[in-house]
Amino acid sequence: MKKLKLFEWHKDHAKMGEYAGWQMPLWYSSVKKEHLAVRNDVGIFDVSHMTEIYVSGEDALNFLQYVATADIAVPPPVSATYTLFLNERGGIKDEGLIYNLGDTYMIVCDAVAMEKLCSWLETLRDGITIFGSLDIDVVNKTFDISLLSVQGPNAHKIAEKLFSININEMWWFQCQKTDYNGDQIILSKSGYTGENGFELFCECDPLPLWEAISNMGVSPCGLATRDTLRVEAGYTLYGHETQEKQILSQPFDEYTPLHGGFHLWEFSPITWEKDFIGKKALQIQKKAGIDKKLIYIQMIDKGIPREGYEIQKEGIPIGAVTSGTQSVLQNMGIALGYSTEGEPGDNVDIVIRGEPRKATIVTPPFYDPTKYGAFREV
Amino acid sequence: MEYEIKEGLYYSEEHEWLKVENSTGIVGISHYAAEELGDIAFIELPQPGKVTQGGKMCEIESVKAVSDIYAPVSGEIIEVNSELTDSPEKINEDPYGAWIAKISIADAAELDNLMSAEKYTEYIDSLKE
Repeated sequence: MKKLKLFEWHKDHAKMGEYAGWQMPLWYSSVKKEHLAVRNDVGIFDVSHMTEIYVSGEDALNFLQYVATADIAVPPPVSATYTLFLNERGGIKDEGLIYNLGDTYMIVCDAVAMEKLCSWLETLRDGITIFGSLDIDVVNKTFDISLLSVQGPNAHKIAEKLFSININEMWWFQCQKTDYNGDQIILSKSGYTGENGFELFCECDPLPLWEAISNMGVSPCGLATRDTLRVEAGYTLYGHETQEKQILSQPFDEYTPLHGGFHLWEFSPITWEKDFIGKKALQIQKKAGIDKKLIYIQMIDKGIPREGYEIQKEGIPIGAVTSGTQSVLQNMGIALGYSTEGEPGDNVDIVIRGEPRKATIVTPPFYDPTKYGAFREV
Repeated sequence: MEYEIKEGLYYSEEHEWLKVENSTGIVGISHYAAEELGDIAFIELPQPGKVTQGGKMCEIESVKAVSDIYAPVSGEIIEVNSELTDSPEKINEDPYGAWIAKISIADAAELDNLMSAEKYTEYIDSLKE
C-alpha cells in the first residue's frame, strides 16, 4: 500500500481508506462538515496521491502536443492547460493538467492511471525516438512531490497571508513559483471542488506547510469530501465518467470525449487544429453520430443514485449512473451518468433497489452558481 | 479513535446493539458502526413482520455507501423509529439514543449468540489491528 508523506498525521486524525493503492484520509470530522467548510469558508486536502510526471528535453513540447488533445503551447510559463489523453480509438486514457514550468512540463493526473500513463508515455517515446535522435525524458515524480489543495471562498486569504500572493488576480491554472521557509513551492490556481482555491506542489516535507495552514482555521478535508464536492460541481473522474476500455474492443465501443460533451465546452480541451492521438477516431465518430451522452441527474424522490444504477425513461432503460452521491447543499441525491437520450428538464427514473425513483436532468453544477462556487456573486 | 460501547447492551458482529426490556428488544447500530459509515443520509426502516437472527432487517445509506442492517434476534417488528426518516443524522449524533426498531423476541436463548459490552470491546480492538 502506498503512503502519503503525511500518513502518520492523517492516521491520527482521520478515518482512513484505500484509493488506487494509496492509504488515504477519507474524512476527519465528517463529510458534511468538511463539505460545508469548503463551500462557505475554506478547507485543505492532502492529494499527494495524484500522479505527477515530468516530461522534458528539446522535443518534449512536440511530443506532448501529439499525446494531449489540448494545445499546450498556448499558455506562457508558468501555467497549466487542462487536457485529455486518448488512445487511438478515441477512448480516454486519462484527463489531467499539463504544467509548463519553463524548463520542463509536468503532467498531473489521477492516481488510478499512474502506471498506465507512465508506461504508455515511455512506450510512445521509445517508439518515436527509434526513428531519430529525439530528446524526450519521461520521469515519474509522484513519490517525490506532495500536493496540498486549499479550497473555498476564503482560500485567497490564506495565499495572501502565507505567500503574499493574490490568487484573485491570477487566471485559472496560472502558477507562481514561491517558497515557504526556504523550500521551493509551486502555487497553482486550481482545484477540483468548484470553489476558488489554490494548490501547492512541493518536494519538501509538507508537514510544516500543512500544520501552518490548518492552524489558520482551515478545515482538514478528506477524499470522501473531495468526491461529494466534485460530483456537486459536476466534474468528471477517471474510472467513472472517463474510462478506457482495457480490451481490444470495437472502434466505437469506447466512451470518448464526444460522449462526455467535452468538445462543446466554451474552453474545450480538444484542439482540432492540431494532430493528436485519437483525433481521427473522433472525426469518424462525429460523422457517424454520437449515440450516448453524459447527463447530470438530480433526484426528486428520496434515495441516493449509485454507480451502475439503471436510468430509465417511461420504464425503458436509457443508460446508467457513473457517479452518484448525496448533495450536501441540497440534501438530495445527485448523479452523473451516460444515456442515449434526454435533455435538461426531462424527467427520468433511477432504479434504486429495484424501484424506479423520480429524477430530473439538469445542467451542472448542482448548486446555484451565483451563490456557491468560484464564480459566485460576492 | 475511541468508540463508545455502552454497558448493559448486547452486540452483534455486524455492529447492531440490542437493549432487552422484558420480551422486547430495541435495536440500533453501535458508535463504531456509525463512525465507519460516516454521515448517514438515508434509512429505509424495516417493514412490519417477522425477522430472523442474522437476517437482513433494513438498509442504511451513508454519503459513501449502502449497508444492510441485520436483525440481532428473531421475532416480530412491533415498532419503528419513524423520526429517523426525516433526520437520519440522529444516528451519528447519538447512536445509542437513535433506536431503529423494536422486536418482540421469539427466543431468548438466541441472546447467547450475541456479545456483551466487554466482548464487543475486544471484538472492535481485533478489527482495528
